[in-house]
Amino acid sequence: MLTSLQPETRFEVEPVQAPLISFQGVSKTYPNGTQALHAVNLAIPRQDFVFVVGPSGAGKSTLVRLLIREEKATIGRIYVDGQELGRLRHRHLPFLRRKIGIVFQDYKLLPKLTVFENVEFGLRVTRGVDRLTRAKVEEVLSIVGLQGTERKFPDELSGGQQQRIAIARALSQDPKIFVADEPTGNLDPATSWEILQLLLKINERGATVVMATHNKEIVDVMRRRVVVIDGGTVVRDDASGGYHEDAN
Amino acid sequence: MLTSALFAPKSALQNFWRNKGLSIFAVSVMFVVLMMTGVSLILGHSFNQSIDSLKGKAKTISIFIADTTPLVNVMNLQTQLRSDPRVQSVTFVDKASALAKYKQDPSIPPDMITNLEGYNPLPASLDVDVKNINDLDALANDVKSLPLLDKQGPTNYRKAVIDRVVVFSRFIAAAGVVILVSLTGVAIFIIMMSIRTAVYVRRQEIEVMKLVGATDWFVRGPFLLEGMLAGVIASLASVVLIAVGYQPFVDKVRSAVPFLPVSYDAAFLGELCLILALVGIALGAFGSWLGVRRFLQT
Repeated sequence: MLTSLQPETRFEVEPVQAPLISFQGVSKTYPNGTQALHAVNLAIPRQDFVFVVGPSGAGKSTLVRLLIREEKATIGRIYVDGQELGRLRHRHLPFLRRKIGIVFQDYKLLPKLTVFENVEFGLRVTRGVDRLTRAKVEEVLSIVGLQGTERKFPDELSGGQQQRIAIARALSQDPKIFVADEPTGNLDPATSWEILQLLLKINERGATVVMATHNKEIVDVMRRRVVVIDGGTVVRDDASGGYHEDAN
Repeated sequence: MLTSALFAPKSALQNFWRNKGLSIFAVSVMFVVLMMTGVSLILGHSFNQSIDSLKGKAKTISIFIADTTPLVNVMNLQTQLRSDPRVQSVTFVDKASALAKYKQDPSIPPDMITNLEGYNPLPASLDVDVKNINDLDALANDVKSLPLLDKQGPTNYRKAVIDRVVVFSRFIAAAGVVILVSLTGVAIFIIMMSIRTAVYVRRQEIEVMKLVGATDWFVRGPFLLEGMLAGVIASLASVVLIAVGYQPFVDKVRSAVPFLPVSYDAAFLGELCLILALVGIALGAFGSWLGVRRFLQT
């Protein structure tokens, strides 16, 4: 009878969620013998914002290339949204890439297309153009603050605006993951801050952001998760850190 | 979905037009290759016509009958030969017919024919057509020792000539295959290189396509259509030129080498045009597929 007097107890157990991105003992050696990454372990949960920092040649870009499966790991496993990239068949690769929005230091825009067409191009490739396309393009251009520039060509705009076009193109796919490889590398400090604010906004909208960068000021001020790579290995992984260890 | 499906043809046409220089080069090379293919097929066909005719003639053997042989014996031999499974047909040519035929032969000098007035040295013969040219040797051996045959020369069988005809026809067939395979290889290589150049020119666009998640077929489609378009234009041009030039070519060969039994073959021309069109399209598609393949591997 005692048990019946006790209040009913409920345990709210949160299901253990696998990280959205996971590197497990990943090493990468290029055919010329250069070892770019060595035994990297990294787990990135959903909606995380991670800076990947380190000196030139440390292995940041290799990490990004492995993440988007431009390269395959020599040893170890990489999981993205539950898929092991080493086992991913070539024909399934496009569907992985559609989950990942990617921006680069050199923007990778098509110079002969207008701002609108550059953003529409991504949708045209993956979904085809329909009556909703225009609205979608206008929506993402508005998110990145490029309303009114639709008919301009990329070389008529500043570097920061060009990077915004690239971000809008990536955003139009509604990616789960947003990978930015040195997105502020060609930009002045003020513009870099604008781009960073944009990436934060994208993160708040639900996307996981992985940003490889050299930009010490941004990393130190943001106090977000910092993964430091040096000589191909992860030498530091702080939940809220600075570019250098003494900045913590 | 419809706009997505229209992307490939629209993009192919746009790129074909935008890269006019490259497109014209690819079409020109394919045109030359298809013309060479067409001309070699016509030559091959004409050779085949000649070889078939030679083989047809070579498959006939004349068995010469001695003037003293009674006609009944000749008829018995004719019946015997007709029942031989190797034999297609047997025709009796009497001495008068043999002389008339000889006189009509344009290769015989007129003075030799004049000397034959009132005199017939030619024997009667049984002209035997065999089913297979390879049986001639055995048949000639079987009949040559028969007593009723002309002792001067029992048959007109010339083993060396027949062997040469057979070897020559085999050589022509093999040479034709080698030439066609080489031309096909050259065409594929040229198309592959020109499409590879087109792909290189558009590498930025392809890189972006792959980054945002385009499938291989989405990237490959416009290039395949571009190659096929070049193939269609080149094959149309070559088909028109060959259709127009075939009859004059045959006329020219017949007037230059009258003894070659080459003739205009309308059915062959139809087949040739169809072959060239299909080969042009297939070469364009295959060359493009090879050209774009390397860029799709990552």
